[in-house]
Amino acid sequence: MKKLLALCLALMLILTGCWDKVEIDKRAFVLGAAADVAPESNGNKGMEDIEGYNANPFMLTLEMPIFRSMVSQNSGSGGGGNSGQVKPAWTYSSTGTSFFEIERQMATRSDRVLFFGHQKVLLIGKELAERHNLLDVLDFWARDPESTRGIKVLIADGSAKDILSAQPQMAQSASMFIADQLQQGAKTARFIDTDLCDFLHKLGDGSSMLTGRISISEDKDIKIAGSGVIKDGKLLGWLGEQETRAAQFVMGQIKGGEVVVRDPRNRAVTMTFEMYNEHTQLKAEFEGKRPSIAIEIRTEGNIAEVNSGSTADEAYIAACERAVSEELEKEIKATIDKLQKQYKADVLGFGSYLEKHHNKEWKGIEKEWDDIYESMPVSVDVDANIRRIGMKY
Amino acid sequence: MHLSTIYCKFKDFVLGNNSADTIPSAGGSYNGIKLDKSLDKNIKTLQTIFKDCDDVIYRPFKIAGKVKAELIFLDGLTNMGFVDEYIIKPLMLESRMANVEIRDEDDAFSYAQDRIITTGNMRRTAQLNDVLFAIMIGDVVIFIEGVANCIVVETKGWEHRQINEPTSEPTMRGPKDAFTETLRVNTMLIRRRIRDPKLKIRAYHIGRRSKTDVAVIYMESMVNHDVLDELNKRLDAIDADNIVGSAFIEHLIEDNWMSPFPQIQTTERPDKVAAMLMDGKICIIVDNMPFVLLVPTTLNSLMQTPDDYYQRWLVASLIRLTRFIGSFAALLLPSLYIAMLSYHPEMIPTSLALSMAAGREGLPFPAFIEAFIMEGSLELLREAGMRLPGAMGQTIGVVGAIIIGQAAVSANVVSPAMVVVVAFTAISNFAIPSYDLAISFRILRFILMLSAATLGLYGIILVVMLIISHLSVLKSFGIPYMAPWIPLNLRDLKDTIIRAPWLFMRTRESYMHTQNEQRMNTDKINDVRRQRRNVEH
Amino acid sequence: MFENNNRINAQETMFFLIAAMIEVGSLIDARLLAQETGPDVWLAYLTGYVFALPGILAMAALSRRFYKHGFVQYSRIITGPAIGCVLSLALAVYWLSVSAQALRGMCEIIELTLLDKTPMEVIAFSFLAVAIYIARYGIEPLSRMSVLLGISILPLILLVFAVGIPKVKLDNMLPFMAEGPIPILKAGAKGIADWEEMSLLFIIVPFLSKPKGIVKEALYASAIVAFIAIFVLSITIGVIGANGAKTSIAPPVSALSAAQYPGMFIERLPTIFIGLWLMMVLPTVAALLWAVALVLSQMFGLTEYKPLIMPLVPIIYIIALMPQNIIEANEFFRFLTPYGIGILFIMPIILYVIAAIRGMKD
Repeated sequence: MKKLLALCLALMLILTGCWDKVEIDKRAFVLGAAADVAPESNGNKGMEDIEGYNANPFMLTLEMPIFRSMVSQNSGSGGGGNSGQVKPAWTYSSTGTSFFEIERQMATRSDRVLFFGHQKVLLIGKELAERHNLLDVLDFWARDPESTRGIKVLIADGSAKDILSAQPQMAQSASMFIADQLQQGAKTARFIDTDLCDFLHKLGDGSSMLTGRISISEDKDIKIAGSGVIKDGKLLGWLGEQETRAAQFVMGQIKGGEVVVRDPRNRAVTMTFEMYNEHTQLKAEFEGKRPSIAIEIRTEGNIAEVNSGSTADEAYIAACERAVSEELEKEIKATIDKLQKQYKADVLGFGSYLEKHHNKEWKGIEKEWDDIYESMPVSVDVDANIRRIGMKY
Repeated sequence: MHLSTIYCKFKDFVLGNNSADTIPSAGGSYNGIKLDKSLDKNIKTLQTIFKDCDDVIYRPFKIAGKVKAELIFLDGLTNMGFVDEYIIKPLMLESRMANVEIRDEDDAFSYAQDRIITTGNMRRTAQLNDVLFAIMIGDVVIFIEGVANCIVVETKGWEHRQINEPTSEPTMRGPKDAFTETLRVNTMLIRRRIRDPKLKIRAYHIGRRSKTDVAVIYMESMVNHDVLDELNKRLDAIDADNIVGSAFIEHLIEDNWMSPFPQIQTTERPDKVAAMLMDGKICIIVDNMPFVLLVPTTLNSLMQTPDDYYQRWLVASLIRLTRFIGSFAALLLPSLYIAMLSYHPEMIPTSLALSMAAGREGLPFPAFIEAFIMEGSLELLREAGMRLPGAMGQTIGVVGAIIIGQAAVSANVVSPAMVVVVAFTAISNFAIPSYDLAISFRILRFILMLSAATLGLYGIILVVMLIISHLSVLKSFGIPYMAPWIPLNLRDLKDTIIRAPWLFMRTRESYMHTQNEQRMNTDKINDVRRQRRNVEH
Repeated sequence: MFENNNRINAQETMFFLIAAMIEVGSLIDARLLAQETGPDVWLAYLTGYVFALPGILAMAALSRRFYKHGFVQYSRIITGPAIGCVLSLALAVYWLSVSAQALRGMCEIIELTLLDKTPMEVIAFSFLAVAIYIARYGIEPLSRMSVLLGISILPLILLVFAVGIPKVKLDNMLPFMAEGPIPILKAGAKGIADWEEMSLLFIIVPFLSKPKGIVKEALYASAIVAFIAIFVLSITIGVIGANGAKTSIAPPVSALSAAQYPGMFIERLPTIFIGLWLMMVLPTVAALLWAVALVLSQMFGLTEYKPLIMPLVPIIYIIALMPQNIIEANEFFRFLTPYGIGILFIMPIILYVIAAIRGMKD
């Protein structure tokens, strides 16, 4: 009798189950999303009286692959045929008051269930980043159990939608292209790689941060270079490629990249230094309530290219090392200066360094940190070492 | 009915303690009926009993030409040449030539028994019951006029299968003999491997009608007597007309017949049995079955093959590891496929997920119906392959699988990924060495698939936990089924996922509670090795 | 040896305690600890362990003193029948609530990560059904299952979590004790209540084959649990920082989700992690179910505890599903903190002191 009961219950479970079942082919995989400010206010429904309310402020663009064409192109004739011209992904875009609302609007236009579990990138338009607190913008992705905290978040220079709609030459979808391209961080330090976790972490702390910048070049190529300066959750401005590299030196995030300096023997041509290793140490000193920070950077690398035809002897290598160090010091100083004076944003984490390593003193200056930061003296010392010179002597 | 009463009844039935004095009818019990002095009366009794049994042969003759006697045996079960040469001929002819003086019938009897019949195994009996049983198992019974006893000469000899290669447990480097249907041959095969008087072979006759020979074999100096007593108790409790085979006994003596897991191991390899006996296990041989039973059984022992021990330890360990991984795949792969495709596509790497989705696009069925179709057709093929004769069966199995898989994919019934999963599962299932365990895994696989279809990964976890709970509860003859994992004894883990070198396996598994735990003494061999090393240096 | 003889050896005792201790509570507690102590979560947990130790030791020593009796009998011996009865009832109610909390926590985690729309009733019910199966067979299979899970699932959990190690930023562990020792001590005091299932020590000693070793085993078990928890908590804080932990419902899950690499065979580590972790919840709920049934059967002088298990299940089910949402559930189960400190710390120490002074023992 008991067993019969158990069997009945099990059967009930099986027969009535499957609440969450959505077959994989009935889902639309969102590979990338682009959040923008809606182009114009188009009708607001009875909420106008709320102050500061902006009807349909957001525009969300989602890129979803069309499975068949994506896979057949993969195994096909290398995309050389006619089908290669069609992007095997569907871009959908709509406006709404919240991102979740926009996502659900999608149900009126598609037979698929949107699925964010494989989302790779999230692009945020420049205008949106300037106007809205990014922490609130990102809330949908932080809250959604489907999406991971490893989603790459980048700020678009311009409209994020345009970038997601672009058709990269070597990849099937813009999102996959961007996600794979970000893996190039080991080759160059021209951009910064931030994911959702970094955003939640930094913005949740109330601190400023740098994030990757993405744009479309004149040749309609997607280009990830430089970085955006975010303070109080909003985009303040950009750092260029070299400035981004300098900033990453300070943060100790360099995994690779190159430095081109004037050749010490022949100032007319250049010598290229390839870094592969970097170590940064911050040191802080206090004079009363005035902190000063000393940055010590040690980097190792190769001689990658010499245009002067010089042979690599000891003196030359030493001169090169000196040249690289000086060049980097100059760059880093200029960047820090720009961040301190122009943006007034502590994106390099000096504040959090003080908080963590000099907690007692930090408590005294925490309140007026913004003022102190602007005028805080920062010294930079770079020590570049050349370890290999390549195959040519 | 209480065990002991059954046992008593059974014993009475076989040995005959009752003193019922009636002339038996053909269907009744013959307990305690004694033979008569009159030959004619005895023969008449037997003829009544063996009415319509045309394979019973009566052969009247005269010992030394004087005393009336009659020889009864079953045609086909006795060795006819032997009967002619060593029983009838001496009794009829040589007794006459020897010119012995036979005064009366008793003389004739003792004369025949002591001096004429020259066979090894012979006895006398006065019980009708005994006589009947002797005839039924192929012995010759000699009745002599005027004596209330008869002589039973063992002349068993019938056509039986030769010792062949094992079909269900082939090995690369092991011996190639397997058990046959004849119990004596089987005990011989074991005796040849263990030449020790401590190897005990205890005989039972189980089955009211079939009176099947069952032999319980164990090493007296190793076996755990609690297990042995328990086994005897359970065997004695069996009271059935017919023993359908070793599976019948297995079912009646196993601990939990509701469990999908086999709690008794079957094998057709005498070398395996010998090794198991040495580890303190008990072997049950049932006549007319080439598969013998081994108790107690653990899950671990079901995952071992004889080849593990005939190969070098590194090779064996690698194979073991593969086998364990394979068994997990056989159990979980289709259900994980269903769970991932229907519930958790985020678990599949993106590019694979995309191609899987592309492969499934346009399919009419959800993933779990798809999986059921494919798994079901595989089971069907397996069953059909068994029925089809010999080599054809294998061909149909392979060809059928390929063709059905290919056709199902091109007909858009299943996705290509599903075919891969099913094929891999089937292969993994064959990697499980025990046929019984493989079948139980197949059952569990379907349950897991069902639960995955209902609750996704959580459903799989639930059923896995249920299986783990069940395995923790399960015991085989008092030994935990999951030993040596639980109760955990690091020393015993040498023969589980890996097979440690023999030098390290000095002791028997502790969970068996054998009387003698030492398997080998490595002191000497270590000495020799040390000396050799010293010489080298 | 042919029945379940209800005797467990030292090693089984240890694994039984470990498996009972590890449940979803540790996943959710990380947030509470981070809210109270910032990046010093590991230290707060360690402090909690140190604070809980006297209670754990008192429980073990007390039970060893009365190694022939369960809690119901010896509480009567020590305090008299009336108070003893009240204490036993308090213990049973505590275990009921703790198992309800564990069940609820598990359901929440499943709803969040695995099954979004499946009714919680189904999840709780199907889980309890499995727990009933094993709880009915008593402590011996339970502890054997714990050993099996302890040697197979626990290392896997640690392995999965170890993937996060390369992403740990030691800076996230700083500042060290920024607010001074007070918040840590406070969190540590509350942390005593995290050792809920250690109260099983009250009743398991009569089932031990060697009751003398219980103190050692309790120490080992709690140390291993503390190690695992600190390992998981440190990596969590190291990867997502105290701030990330404060804002996440289940910080270790978020940490794993941030720590995974693209291109791994299984894309989602958190899902695997949760799957494995869920397996560790079953011994907890089953053990508590068994314990409550046992204590009640002893209180009412029944010879069998099995018939009591079935009626207990609806109670756990109702308590677990009473709160409407996760916030309410957290609030609802907050009473377990003072209750736990009473059961895990005050009660055993007082009872032990009384027993020691009066020289009562078996």
